[in-house]
Amino acid sequence: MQKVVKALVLISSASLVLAVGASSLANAGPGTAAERIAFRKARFMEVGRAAKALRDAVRNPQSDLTAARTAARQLAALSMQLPTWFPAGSGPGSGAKTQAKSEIWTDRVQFDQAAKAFAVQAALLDRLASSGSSASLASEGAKLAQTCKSCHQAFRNGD
Amino acid sequence: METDHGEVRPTLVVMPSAVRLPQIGVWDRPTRFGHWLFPVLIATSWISSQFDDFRWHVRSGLAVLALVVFRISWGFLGGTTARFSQFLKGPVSIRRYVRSDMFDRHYRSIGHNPLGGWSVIALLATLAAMTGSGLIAVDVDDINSGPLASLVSFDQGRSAAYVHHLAFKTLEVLVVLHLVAVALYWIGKRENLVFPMITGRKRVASGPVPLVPGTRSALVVSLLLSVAAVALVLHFA
Repeated sequence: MQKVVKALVLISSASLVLAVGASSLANAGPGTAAERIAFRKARFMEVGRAAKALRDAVRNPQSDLTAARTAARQLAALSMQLPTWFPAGSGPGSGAKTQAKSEIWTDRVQFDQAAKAFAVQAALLDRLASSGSSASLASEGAKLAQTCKSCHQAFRNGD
Repeated sequence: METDHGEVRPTLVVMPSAVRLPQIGVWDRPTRFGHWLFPVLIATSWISSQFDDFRWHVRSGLAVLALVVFRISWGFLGGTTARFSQFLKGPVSIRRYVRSDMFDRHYRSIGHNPLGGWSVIALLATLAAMTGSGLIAVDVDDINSGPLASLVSFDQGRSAAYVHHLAFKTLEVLVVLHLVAVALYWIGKRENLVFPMITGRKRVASGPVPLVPGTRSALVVSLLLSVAAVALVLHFA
C-alpha cells in the first residue's frame, strides 16, 4: 500500500513538474531569440490593450463595470506570467532587436521585484473591479500605470 | 523686370549701396507674429517632452495645432506674401530658381522664393501630422496618452505615437534646412532675411508688387478657426 502511495506521489509530482515545465516553455515561446522576443512583444501588446481598455472604461462615466472587470482580470493574469517572458538568451546580447535592457538579466532580483509590484497592483485592481467598487479604480489604475513606467525606465530602452 | 520671354520676374535691380533704397512692406503683422510663435511653441513642446511634463506638452501641442490652423487659413485669406496662391510655384519656376537665381547675388525678390514656398508646405504638413497624431497617440505606459486617445484602439494609438515620432524626426531635418537656407542667404547673398521677418519691411529698389496686408476681418476669421479647432479637440477629450 505504501509503495502504491509512494508511486502515486512520485507520478503526480513528476507530471506536475512536467506540466509546469511545459507551461513555462510555452510561456517562453518557441526556440530562437527573435521568436521569443516576438512572443514577448505580443504579450506586452495584450497588456497595453487591457490597460487602455481599463483606463478608457474608468474614464468613461457612461461605461458599466463589465469592461473594466474584464480588463482588470486580463491584466492580473498577464502580470503573473510577465517574468516568464524574459527567458535567458532573449536580451540585447542575443543579436535580435529588442528594447529590453541587459539589466533584466544582470539585476534579476530588482527586475522580479518590479514585476511583482505590477502583479500586486493588478491583483488589487482585479479585486476592486470584481467587487464593484469603482470609486478608487481611477486612482489605483494610475498607480498601476506608474508600476509600468518605473519598470520601463529601469529596464527598457525608450523609443 | 521683363525677361526676353515677356514674363514678369520678381527680380529687382540692386542699386549702388550708397543709395538708400526705399523700404517696402514684405510680411504683414499676423504672418510675422505667427512665424515667431512657431519656434517658441515648438521649443516649449520639445522642452516639456524632455522634462516629461505631459500637461504642458499637451497645452503646447494644442497651441501648435491652433497656429497651424491659423497659418493655413492665413494662406488663403492673409497678406499677399503669405498666400499659397502667391508663393507656390510649379516645376518651371523651381528649376529656373535652382539653376540660376539661387546663385545670383543680385537676385532679389519679396515673399518666399520658389523653393522656400514648398518648404513652408513641408513644415506645415509635418506640424499638422505631428499635432494630429499626438492627439490620439498612446504611450507604452498609457500615462502620457493624447487627449483624444480614448477614441482609438491601443494599436491605432501606438501607430499614431510612431507617426508622432517620425514627424518629429522630419521636423528636425526641416528646421535645420530652414536655418541653413537663412544662413546661406546671409553669407552667400548678403541678404538678411531675419530682419524683414521682424520689422516686416525690406529695402529694395522699386519694381516688385508691394505687399497687400491681410484685412482685419481675415484675421478675425483665421483666429476664430484656430480657436474652433482647439475647442473641437477639447469637446471630445
